Amino acid sequence: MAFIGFDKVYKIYSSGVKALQNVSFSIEEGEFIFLVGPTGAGKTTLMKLINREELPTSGDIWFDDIHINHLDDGYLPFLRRNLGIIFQDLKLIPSRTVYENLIFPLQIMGIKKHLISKLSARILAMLEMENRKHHLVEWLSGGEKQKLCLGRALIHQPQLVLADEPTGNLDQYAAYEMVETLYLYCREEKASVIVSTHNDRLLKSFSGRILQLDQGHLVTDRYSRVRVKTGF
Amino acid sequence: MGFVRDAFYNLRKRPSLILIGFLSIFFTQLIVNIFIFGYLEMEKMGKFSAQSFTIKAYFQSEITDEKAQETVQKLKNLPNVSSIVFLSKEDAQKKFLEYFELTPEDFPVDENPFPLSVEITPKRVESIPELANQVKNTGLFDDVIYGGKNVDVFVRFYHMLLSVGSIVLFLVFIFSLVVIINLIRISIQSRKGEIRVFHLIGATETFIRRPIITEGFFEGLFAGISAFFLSILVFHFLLDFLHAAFPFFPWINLTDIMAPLLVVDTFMGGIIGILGSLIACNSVLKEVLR
Ligand SMILES: Nc1ncnc2c1ncn2[C@@H]1O[C@H](COP(=O)(O)OP(=O)(O)O)[C@@H](O)[C@H]1O
Ligand SMILES: [Mg+2]
Repeated sequence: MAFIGFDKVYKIYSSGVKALQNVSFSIEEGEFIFLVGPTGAGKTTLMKLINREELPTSGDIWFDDIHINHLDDGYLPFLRRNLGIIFQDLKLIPSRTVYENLIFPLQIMGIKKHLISKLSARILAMLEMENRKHHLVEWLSGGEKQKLCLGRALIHQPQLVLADEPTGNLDQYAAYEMVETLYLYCREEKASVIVSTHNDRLLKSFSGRILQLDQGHLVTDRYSRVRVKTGF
Repeated sequence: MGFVRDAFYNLRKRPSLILIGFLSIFFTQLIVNIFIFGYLEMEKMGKFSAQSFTIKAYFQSEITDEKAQETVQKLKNLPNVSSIVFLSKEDAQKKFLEYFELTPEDFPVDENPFPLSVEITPKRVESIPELANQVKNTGLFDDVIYGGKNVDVFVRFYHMLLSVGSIVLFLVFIFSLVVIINLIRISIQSRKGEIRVFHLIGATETFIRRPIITEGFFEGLFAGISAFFLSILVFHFLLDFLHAAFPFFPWINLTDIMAPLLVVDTFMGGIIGILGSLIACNSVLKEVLR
């Protein structure tokens, strides 16, 4: 069975907007996926369906062997703990420090203190943000906030990472670094990663599967191989 | 213990809301304390005055000595009876003669005209009317007499204090509960964003509720404890004054009311806090999370 499965999924918002129409695909463990398409194509909606922030209007969605549509509300937190999400609107808490925001996923799982400090130290080092540890999030630059979101999405080592336009506020080099981090995470942890973007240069820099949405329809599903890493 | 720290973090962030909540519980507890004070004082007066009030009951003339003795044993077992003294005809005659400083020769009678009687000391003043009724209902007595008006006034005052007290207590309890519920609701609303983020990354509802309820608990607890200290301070001076001004009146001692005040204030404060935040959580969390 596939790791993630969408079967004839429709999402029609109460406003009447058809955000997704007849979308079917499946994803295996360890796959690296670019989700592309113009603004309004339904990328964010697709991710919200996996996180069950939204329910599909019709069709079935599977995560591992869990039928997400029918998941009891009580199990929702345990589904979400398997996911690491970089939200398009970040969803950081500005009045809290970098450290506090970073460790939320560990705190809600009741992870022990010493493990929290070990994991957070590693992530802060990876983000090169050790010197921002006790800064309030509202003091950070756009790029730093986005990096913090990356850290928060990876710190609990989720099986699936959803990154919704994670490079929006970043320059080309930082964008490349961000996606490279996700790419390496995917390889090293055998986790699946879905990155939504409309940055074409990124697509050319990493091998992976490309799912293209257009006006709610899944129009392309192909693999792209990068033989020579272009780098920046 | 992260949620305790979270609770304090939240408390610190909204000082004005906290102050309103704190004050409403604080004043509730003050009113409660005044009633506890009043109640304990009545209690003490009741016990004290019971010594000076007795019920006298005169047996019907056809009741024999044995039957009367038997009845005395039965009455002794009533829960409100502190002690009971049986007066034989001879005792009664002697008492009568002593009272009027007479000798048996001054008052010659063929047959002793005095009835058998009992004198009952109750445990508590306010139980006198009820006890007198119980005695009367045995059907063995001609007359049941007690210290009439004084007792009735006391009893009426006692019942009034209890009923008015419980109504007022109930009202202030409800009032401060409503205040707390609404304050916690506002507090949840103001943290809507944060709570949604927690929920989106996999926090359970328990995890989200815990700091909110802890926050309510500590707010109530602190208000209760503060009310306790203020009350003790006021009662300290009040009782000092009363003891000095009316030394023969049975005033309670400060040490007698400290324990009940502390227990009631901390428990009631804490419970209002917990209950209020629980109700607030149930009413707004669903709408915040969806
Ligand atoms: N909550 C909502 N209610 C109504 N319409 C929505 C809602 N969220 C998104 N949409 C609409 O659904 C379409 C797809 O949106 P979205 O999934 O955010 O696209 P993308 O992320 O690819 O830009 C858009 O037309 C958007 O306006
Ligand atoms: Mg989007």
